[in-house]
Amino acid sequence: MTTATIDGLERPERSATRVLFIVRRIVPRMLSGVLVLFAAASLTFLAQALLPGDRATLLLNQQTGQTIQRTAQELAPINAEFGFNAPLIVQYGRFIGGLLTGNLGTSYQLHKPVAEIIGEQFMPTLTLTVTALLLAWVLTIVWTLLTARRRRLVSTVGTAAETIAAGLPQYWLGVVLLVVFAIGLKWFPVIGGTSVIGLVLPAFTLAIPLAGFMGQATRTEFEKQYDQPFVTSARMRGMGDVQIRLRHVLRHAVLPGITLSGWALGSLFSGAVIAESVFARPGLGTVLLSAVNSRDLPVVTGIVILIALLYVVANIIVDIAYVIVDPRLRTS
Amino acid sequence: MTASTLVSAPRPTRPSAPIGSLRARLRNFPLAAAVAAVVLVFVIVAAVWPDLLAPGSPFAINLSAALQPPSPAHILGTDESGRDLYTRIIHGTGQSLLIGLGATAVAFVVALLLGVAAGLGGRVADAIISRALDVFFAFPVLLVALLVVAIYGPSVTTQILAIGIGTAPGYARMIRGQVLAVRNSGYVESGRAVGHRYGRILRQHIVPNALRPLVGVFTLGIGQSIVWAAGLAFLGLGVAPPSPEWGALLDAGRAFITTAWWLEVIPGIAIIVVALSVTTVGRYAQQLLEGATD
Repeated sequence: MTTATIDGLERPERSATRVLFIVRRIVPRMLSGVLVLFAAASLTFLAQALLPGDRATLLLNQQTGQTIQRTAQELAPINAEFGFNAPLIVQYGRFIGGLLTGNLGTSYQLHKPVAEIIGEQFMPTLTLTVTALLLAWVLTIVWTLLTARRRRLVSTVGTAAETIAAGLPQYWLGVVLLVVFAIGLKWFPVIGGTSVIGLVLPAFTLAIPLAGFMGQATRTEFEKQYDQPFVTSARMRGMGDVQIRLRHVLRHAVLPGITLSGWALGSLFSGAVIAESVFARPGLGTVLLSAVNSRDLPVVTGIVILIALLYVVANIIVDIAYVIVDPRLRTS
Repeated sequence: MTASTLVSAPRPTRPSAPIGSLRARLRNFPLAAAVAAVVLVFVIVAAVWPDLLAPGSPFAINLSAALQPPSPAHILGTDESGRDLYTRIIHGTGQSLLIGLGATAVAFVVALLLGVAAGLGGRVADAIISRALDVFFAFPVLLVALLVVAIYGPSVTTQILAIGIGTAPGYARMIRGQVLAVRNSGYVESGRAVGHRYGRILRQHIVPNALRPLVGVFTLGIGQSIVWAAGLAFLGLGVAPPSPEWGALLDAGRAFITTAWWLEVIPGIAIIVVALSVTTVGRYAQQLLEGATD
């Protein structure tokens, strides 16, 4: 009994409380996540319905590259195919019903199911965004450990680098990396495709600004925690500075970054539009950009809803990660 | 996301500072803000009187001097038609700033309507608007902007609208917090206790105190909007070449990345420098307005 509570944690019950806690924390989040998705789907439907002009005419004109008035006979098959003639509320019902069964509609341009188009291009983008997120974490942690609460010059350089990195637009950073490392030094291929070596530059393009942003939050927290009494107490027990940074301070300092990660994943997915465009990499970003250009709304909507879904899922994962990193949450 | 952390609790309006403290403030003027202010003066001159800084025409074609790297004759190099990049950047400043300003203005109008309605409209309105803003937060700025462009088709107006709508939720959430804090503050309560009418309290206390910190935020927003707008143009969804607008320069330069890096890299530097300067000056203005430097 005494050994179990000596460090303030009741060891035997630990795993049970943890599971219970995660459930109690996660279920409300999942419900609100479903709400977010539903609202997102409704908003995007509204966006489609608000499209100025007759949708069938627009669609036909876009496919043929003309801008002319269409006759009723020309429009009839399109209205039949996409169900544009039904009252809005019926269309809305069909749309939401379709989403529940994984049917995202049909592309105006490619006449293929949107789910199929997204499925084909999803993996390269997921690989890119997850790699970029992990890379951003590595950069953030290494940079914080090396430069936070060091000599004044080092800390100043550390902060300045973060501010600049956070302010770099992805499109510019991507071009500079391409010019320097692919065209100048020839370390990487100019058009990377989906190869592993081709992943490096796009991943850095997305990771560096994100690392700057997360680094600012991590550093603030790191510096705050470094002055806490538990650091002094650890020092008194004879713990070295490296150990203190790694085992005590870092653990607190990563929390704001974890919170940001859920948001960051969604943001990286849209940033992929730029990274994929700069490096001519196939993926959802490329699909999204061409869909926006040709005003292929079902594809745009499908990707928007997918990113909302990712955001919701990522935030639930963030919540679980929180409980694992921060034991205080389990005991309260 | 960062926006909400930028504004601290509002303070009641103070009488303007005496001259002596103004001099003290100037002495404390940080170097970074000073450099940024000089850059901004240069940028404003470029926007209003571009001919003062670059007398030539941004469209003057000289095919014998095409794709030249930076040199004394063309300090920032030339493009595929031999147009001088320096002249083009200077002459594009005005339009780029206007787009950034326009987008931020759109964002603020939307955000003010939503934020004030949520802050003063009572529990139900607040709950609905706050939930809706939560949903919008699921969408990154770029994604919302792309959705708006997909609906209305690419054009300069769409570009401004798209960036404005994309960045509005962040400001709306901040304004809501600001309005709520002011509404629940002691000076509003005492105003009410003294028997002032609601309209007077709104005009004299709530509006000035809730909006004052926003001046700095608005400035910060312009920098961000310029960066986002150029991003849309880079993707071919904004101002189209051969306009010298900065985003359009980026769009045009993409075809020459392998042969003429300066066409892509230098307009990007212009965008970053302006955005950083606007941000620095905005932060400083914010500190001054909130009295943090006293």
